[in-house]
Amino acid sequence: MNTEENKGGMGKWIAGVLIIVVVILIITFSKSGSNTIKIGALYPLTGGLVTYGEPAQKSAKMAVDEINNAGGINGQKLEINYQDHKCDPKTAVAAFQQLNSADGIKVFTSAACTGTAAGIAPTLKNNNAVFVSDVLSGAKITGISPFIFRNWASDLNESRLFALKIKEAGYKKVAVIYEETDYAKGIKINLENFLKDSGVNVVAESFATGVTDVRTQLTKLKVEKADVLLISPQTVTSAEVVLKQMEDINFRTKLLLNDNVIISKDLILKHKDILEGALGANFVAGSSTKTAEVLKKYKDTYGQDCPQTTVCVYTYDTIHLLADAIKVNGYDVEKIKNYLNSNSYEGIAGTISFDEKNDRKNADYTLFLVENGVAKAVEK
Amino acid sequence: MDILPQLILNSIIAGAVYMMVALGFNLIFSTGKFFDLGYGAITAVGGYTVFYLSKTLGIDIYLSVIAGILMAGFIGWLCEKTVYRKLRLKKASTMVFLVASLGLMTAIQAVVAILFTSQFQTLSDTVGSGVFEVFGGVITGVQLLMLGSGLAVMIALVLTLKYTKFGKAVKAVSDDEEVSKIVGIDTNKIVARVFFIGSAIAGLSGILVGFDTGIEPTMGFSLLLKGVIASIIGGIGNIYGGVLGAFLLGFIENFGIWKISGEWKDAIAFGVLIIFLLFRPRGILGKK
Repeated sequence: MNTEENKGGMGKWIAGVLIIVVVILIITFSKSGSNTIKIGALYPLTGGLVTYGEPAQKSAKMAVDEINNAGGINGQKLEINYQDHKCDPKTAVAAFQQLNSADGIKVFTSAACTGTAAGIAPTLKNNNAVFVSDVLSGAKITGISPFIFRNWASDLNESRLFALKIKEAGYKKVAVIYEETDYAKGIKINLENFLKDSGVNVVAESFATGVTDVRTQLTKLKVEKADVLLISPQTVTSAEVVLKQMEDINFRTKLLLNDNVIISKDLILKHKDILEGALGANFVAGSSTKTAEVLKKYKDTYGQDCPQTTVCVYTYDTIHLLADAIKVNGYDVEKIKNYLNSNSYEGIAGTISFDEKNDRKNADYTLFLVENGVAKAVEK
Repeated sequence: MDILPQLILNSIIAGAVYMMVALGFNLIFSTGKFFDLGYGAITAVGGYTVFYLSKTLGIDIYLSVIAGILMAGFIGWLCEKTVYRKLRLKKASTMVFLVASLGLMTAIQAVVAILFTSQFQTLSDTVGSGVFEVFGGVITGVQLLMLGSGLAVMIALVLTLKYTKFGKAVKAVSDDEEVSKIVGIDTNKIVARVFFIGSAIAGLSGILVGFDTGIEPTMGFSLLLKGVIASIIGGIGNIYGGVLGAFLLGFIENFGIWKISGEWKDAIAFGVLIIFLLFRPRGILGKK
């Protein structure tokens, strides 16, 4: 190769690099100059909790469109940057840091999971960010950070409800199979605490996330001949594995189901024989004219019913709550935090206000009974 | 209910799954001479092909199974032809092969997730739906099918390797690829066929696991890990060793958590692996 060819090749390289630099500068300039307010949304858009993430994202989009069509927030458009946390703490923290440091986002929302929120919690203060989540029930989130707010019920209430039912029924031995995650294990630990000194013996078996063979754990619980079995998986996927293998080894007993099981209509219908008579607990949105309107709008927009009405309603409310907080306080994290601490907001699912540990006030679980493949609310 | 019969059956069921995975893995390892991580993702290819053909297109489930096995074999063959063969020509190190196979595994899983989402799916409720009682324990039809298929694959492999010209060529390539070339064996052809057969076995494993529990794009990785542990325990590259290791692992895992919590299951499996790597790295039977 001669010198001229070398020069020609070098010229092309320099031109190529210059073009890339110019493109990056244009993108950066257009971003910094854009007239939008940004919220980061960390949802489980793939994996076992996509059943929550997808309706949450659609409801959030609906709320954003409404806000922008009504003039935005103080004249600025609202934009949500959606990221998939996969219910994996590492992925969630990486997505949060990317949005926070690279895109300058300070206001975040999320749907599930206890582990992902717990992973992000310690970083919020130093990164000057505030985080309001729905579909977040893990008891360990209570008071975990002054910058995390939970627009959902704590599953401490779920365990309390289960303990109450166990005592009422006079059960002496309770078996638990749970997934080794913050949320699923949390329900078991809280149940044990509520049953302490009550004379009820709790025997428990666990399995790791992603495991597809829990036969031996179930076999061990079967021979325990407990009065009732609590199934506490993290996802519908894990619940499917547990129920299928219970059927395989013909393990039939009275059942208690956590909210991740009771919320899945398809799963309950599929395993209706083994689940007949099971009790479950879930946090559900009350029905009102406003919630009906939003759910109808969801159907009109996406051509299908919202598969998780409470998720849709609460996510919709969370986005409006954040928009309201930004409208009043500007994009100031400390002011938004104080506003959420001290104010009430009238959402479509009732008044949103937070207690001293940033949990939503008046958020209770409802007891469900499975009959003929359908979970029906029986009492609060 | 007595726990022992069900524990034994649980161990046999787990062993049957590991056996299927270990058989194909061992076959590929014996000629490829590297840890083919892409092999794990091939299990999902088999499962999802059956899912697509039978559930989406409504094709007969048994035809779908055959297509799933062939598709898995084809993808394995394609990986060998387009990636591994080129690396072999460049005399790449085993580390390069390992990284390349990790890349393939990730890529295949991602493609499957894009095409079918990451949602957990079930394959069929009709195949092997019966439940059988054995000495007080129970085993399902699918699990019996898995056990039978694994043993049938093992016998077929043993007979093929022992009595056919192809089998002898595989053994020759496995012993020394360079010498095989000198004596006129088309080593590329042999390795390609081995990848096809090994991957087809992986596909069958994925399909049977799909019938038993369900499928998801990342299902292959945990299967592969257990298959590799089984292979190392029994003797890597040894067909009988893989089978022995698979059942041994199944029993160790399930009896290991008899008196302690189930969360220790994986820790026990990997603990056994470390013990073997330290004290008997060639496995129980060694390489044949």
